Amino acid sequence: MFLEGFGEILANILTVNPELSGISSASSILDTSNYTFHAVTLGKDAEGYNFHAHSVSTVTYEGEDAIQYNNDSVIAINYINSAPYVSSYHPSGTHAEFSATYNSVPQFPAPNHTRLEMNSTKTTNASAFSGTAPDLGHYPNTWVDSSLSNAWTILGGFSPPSSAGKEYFITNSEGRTLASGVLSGMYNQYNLVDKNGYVKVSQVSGLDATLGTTQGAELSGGPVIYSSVNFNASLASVGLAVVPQRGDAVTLAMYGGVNHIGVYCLDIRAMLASGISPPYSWDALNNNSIYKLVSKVTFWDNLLDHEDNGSNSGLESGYNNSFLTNDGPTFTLKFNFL
Amino acid sequence: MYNFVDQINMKGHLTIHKVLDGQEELVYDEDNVITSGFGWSMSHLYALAGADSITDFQIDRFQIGVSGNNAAQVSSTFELSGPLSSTLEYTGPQDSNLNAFTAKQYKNATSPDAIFSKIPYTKVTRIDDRSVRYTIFIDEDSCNNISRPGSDEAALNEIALFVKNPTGNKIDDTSVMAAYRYFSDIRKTNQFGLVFRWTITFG
Repeated sequence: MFLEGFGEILANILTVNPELSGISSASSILDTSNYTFHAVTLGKDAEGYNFHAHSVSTVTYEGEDAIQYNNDSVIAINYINSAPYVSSYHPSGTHAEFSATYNSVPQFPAPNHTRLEMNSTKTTNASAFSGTAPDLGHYPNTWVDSSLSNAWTILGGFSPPSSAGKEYFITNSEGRTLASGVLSGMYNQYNLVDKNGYVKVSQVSGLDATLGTTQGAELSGGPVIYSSVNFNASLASVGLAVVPQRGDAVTLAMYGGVNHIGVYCLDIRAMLASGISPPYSWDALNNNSIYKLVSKVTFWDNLLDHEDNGSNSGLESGYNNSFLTNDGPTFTLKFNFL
Repeated sequence: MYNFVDQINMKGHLTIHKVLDGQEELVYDEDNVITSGFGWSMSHLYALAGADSITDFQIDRFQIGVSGNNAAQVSSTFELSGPLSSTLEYTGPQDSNLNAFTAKQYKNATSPDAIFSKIPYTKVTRIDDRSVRYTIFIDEDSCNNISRPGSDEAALNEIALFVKNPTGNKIDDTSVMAAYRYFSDIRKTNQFGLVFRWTITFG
């Protein structure tokens, strides 16, 4: 769904002063790249930010250090424990377990929305945590936030790279480990996501639909715009592939999955008003971009639903070690401009 | 499924005033059709398959014509039924305030030459966060006494706005129709001017 924010971007485009082309210090404002899709975010139901792997485990690591929530590992309890979810994480188990207090329905989208969930998405479970947990409407990336990183396992939502050696555990409600592994997040490995969970959209053009076979490496630049027989400018349609790869799929699944995807443009007017001038470059650790939500898509179902394959964990074998094309589930957003 | 224009609740509204002795008289006030060319242009921007400069995605020109009809008021319209056919028809022999010129017009996969008149940037006004107004002033010396075979006194009755050059044609601007309106006949003479105020709103 296109949102009112997209109308603001279109009005920006139609009214930016073409005479800026003659001013060397300002001409880059007219670069088309400033007005394209620049970021995506992923999210879920608002209340879910205090359930799933956002919960501080009380069963697995007794006596754990409160400064290193869940012993610096991502932990979720699998309340289903029956095939095909024995060593996978299906959020419906948590929904059912806490149904008396937990409304797990994601917010239905509306044109005036400015974030994925309008209600608070602040994780309050980290009671001993001294920092201020974010309330962004979508998943944060607290792993890279120096002020929040000691509670990253509770706040979520993107995985550290494999070089960090951080682990995940799926346990049953008695604390017995059902699946585990070393997290291998690609968005953080390639510095594609900032602390506020904005995942950079690649500005590489000319890609076709064979992402997984010949152009998989292009995903190391972030979600990609690509064309196919169904998506191309001549047909007035645009395809955007969002692929949470390996550990990113694991942690996002463990934090309750993905029910929303948001697409953002740069809010050029706000950035210029704040003294942030083009050319704009991406810096995951010090991202000063101001974004405007222009489109969102919402699903009742969790996009990261997965299950065991026989005795193989859906999380470890399916996602973390990734036997999937493109190294993760590929979500293609189609924008129809006709 | 909603189309693009409906999804973003994109609307156009056109008023036409006759200007005589400095006084404006409202002669037309209706909504207009946003044509598919606008979305087609924007798809080139968001597919990273178009022009490098955002100004090429702006509406900066218009055409006016004499063969408008209701049947043309559909989103698939990509050309006027009877546009003025020369720069001279726009500007007349002297003193016109219009800047008429020849450029390419994208028409259903072909791009023949066409005559346009420039909309100066000073006449593009942001009304609010999601509304833009284009003001087109056709002065007393412009678009006068148009004739066509079989009609010595052809009346102006259609107008369209165009996106400048969305595909980024490096040689010639190749423009695409973004909005169209058929209006009641106005036989233009040097006795009066016309002001078209065209507001496009996104949601």
